[in-house]
Amino acid sequence: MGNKRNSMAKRATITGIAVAIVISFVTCLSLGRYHIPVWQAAKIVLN
Amino acid sequence: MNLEVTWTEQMASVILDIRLPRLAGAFLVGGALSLSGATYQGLFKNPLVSPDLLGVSSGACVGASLAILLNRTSLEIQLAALVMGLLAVFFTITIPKFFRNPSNLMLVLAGIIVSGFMSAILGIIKYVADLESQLASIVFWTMGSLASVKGQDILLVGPVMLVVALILILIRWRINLLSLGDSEAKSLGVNVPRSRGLAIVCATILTACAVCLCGTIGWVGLIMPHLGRLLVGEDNRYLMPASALLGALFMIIVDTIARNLTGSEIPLSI
Repeated sequence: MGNKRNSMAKRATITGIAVAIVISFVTCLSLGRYHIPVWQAAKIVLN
Repeated sequence: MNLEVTWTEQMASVILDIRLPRLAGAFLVGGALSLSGATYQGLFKNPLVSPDLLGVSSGACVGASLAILLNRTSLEIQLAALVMGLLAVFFTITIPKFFRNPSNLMLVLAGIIVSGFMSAILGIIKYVADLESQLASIVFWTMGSLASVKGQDILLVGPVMLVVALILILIRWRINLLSLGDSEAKSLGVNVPRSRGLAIVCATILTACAVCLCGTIGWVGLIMPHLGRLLVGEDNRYLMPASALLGALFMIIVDTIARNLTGSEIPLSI
């Protein structure tokens, strides 16, 4: 039981890092000398 | 997706031509260096090992510097870095075979010898390079930067890196067994030379591709696996994916800081 909970916590940590990558990727796309809003940057990439 | 166009041509150009390839490069390079660092640390049972242990970075530096010295294009510089990086590792792997001593210690010593030899060649190239243009380019390249990464570079190197990273992720449980020691791994049914060779080749290709994309970047491959160890523990089944993702996250953030913090861009190694 303890091991299962432990492995679930590790998987949750890895998923959390992956989500952080997605958020920081889109945020960093918008940052720069020519600032573009985050939602606009996300729409351009999705399009 | 067909979204309503609420942006200008300039915005689309900045995002798609400049920032997206650069951030994709940061994602790939950070993930690759961190994953290969975690692999080497597991294989050599040494937490102080970094991805350039077998001489791939110094070899790539020699290749790129030689191409800069011969006034080649940026694509040729990247290819020269890739080829020389892999050649340096080939020399490193050949030395233990020459002495018929396949131990990890001999491999590490061979890596140090080849790195030293490549550093000496790099010194000669710097010595004969033109002071005004070539030497500056060589020094800037060795500091590492994602400024020159283009979409075509990502399309060329990215698929190779993703496939090799996938192979490493799939064999991560074997690295757990290899980290127990050769005799224990053998008694558990692992073909030690083949598994270790496959892991070393994959980690080396990842490092060589990362170095050819953006020059030499230290630290990521050494520290990110340790951060991963703090978060998910020693088990490579969790450590390797966590390290790769942490490296990618770290590099995305660092590259954004490097290009925005000051008026001119800060090289990534700094």
